[in-house]
Amino acid sequence: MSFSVLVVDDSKAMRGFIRRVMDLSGFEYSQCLEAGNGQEALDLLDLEPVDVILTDINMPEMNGEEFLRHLEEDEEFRMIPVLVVSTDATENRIREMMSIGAKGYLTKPFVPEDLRGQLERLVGVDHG
Amino acid sequence: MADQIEQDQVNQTIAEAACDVVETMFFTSIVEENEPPDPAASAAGLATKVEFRGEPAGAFRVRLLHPVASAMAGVFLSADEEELSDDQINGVMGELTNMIAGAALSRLDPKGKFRLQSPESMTELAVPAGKRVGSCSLPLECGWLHVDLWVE
Repeated sequence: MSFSVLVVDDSKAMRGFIRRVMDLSGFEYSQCLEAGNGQEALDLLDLEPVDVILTDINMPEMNGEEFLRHLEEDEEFRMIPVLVVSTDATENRIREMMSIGAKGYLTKPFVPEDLRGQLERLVGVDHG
Repeated sequence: MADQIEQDQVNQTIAEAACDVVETMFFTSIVEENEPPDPAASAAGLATKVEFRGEPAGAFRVRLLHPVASAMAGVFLSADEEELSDDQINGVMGELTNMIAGAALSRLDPKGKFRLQSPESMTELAVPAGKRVGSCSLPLECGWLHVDLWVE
């Protein structure tokens, strides 16, 4: 089974890196959509269904926190699991994003296995 | 004496954060070198700054020579470094600086709060505002990486 992924990060280099790491890790995805900020991501979600969202926090126009709050306010979007991918590894930030509605948190730098593990956990891939 | 110990601890933390980033995300190893080049010497290099808000506020600056930046950008983008544009190289340098800043700040104050700003390219001789409180120079396979921390 493969999944549709949305990567939200204002760095084009990082979006491409995440895509390549997903390839390296063996995570099976059918498509990888990209957005440069939360607003672009919301606009994309109105057009395309996705199975999981990866989002950075610090982005222009609409940052990760605002984006998550908008997702939580929507009956349909709030069902999509969100993995935060951020350089911020402080306890406060992790707690904050999880309390807003994130289902996972991955700090940069990360290894491919950790990304795959988090994604598979969020989309319900069972290795048991 | 206490100030020197604290300075050494800050420098060590910055170095550990930078090592983690370059080894994990840039698949680049740290090599053995005896003496770093003089980081204050001007050269045909790139410098990128990431400011942060919080208590305290400040900035990280990463400096490296252009060939080193190209090599690292080529690895990160999985592309031929000879064919990369300046924008692409600067974009990767921004991401490198962003990651080192976040990793270092998270180690220096795991219970703190900070907000990173967008990376900015700067001339190599320009310095951020405030007082420099930490630095490290890492010998990579492709050349030297210099990181400095300023606080306001």
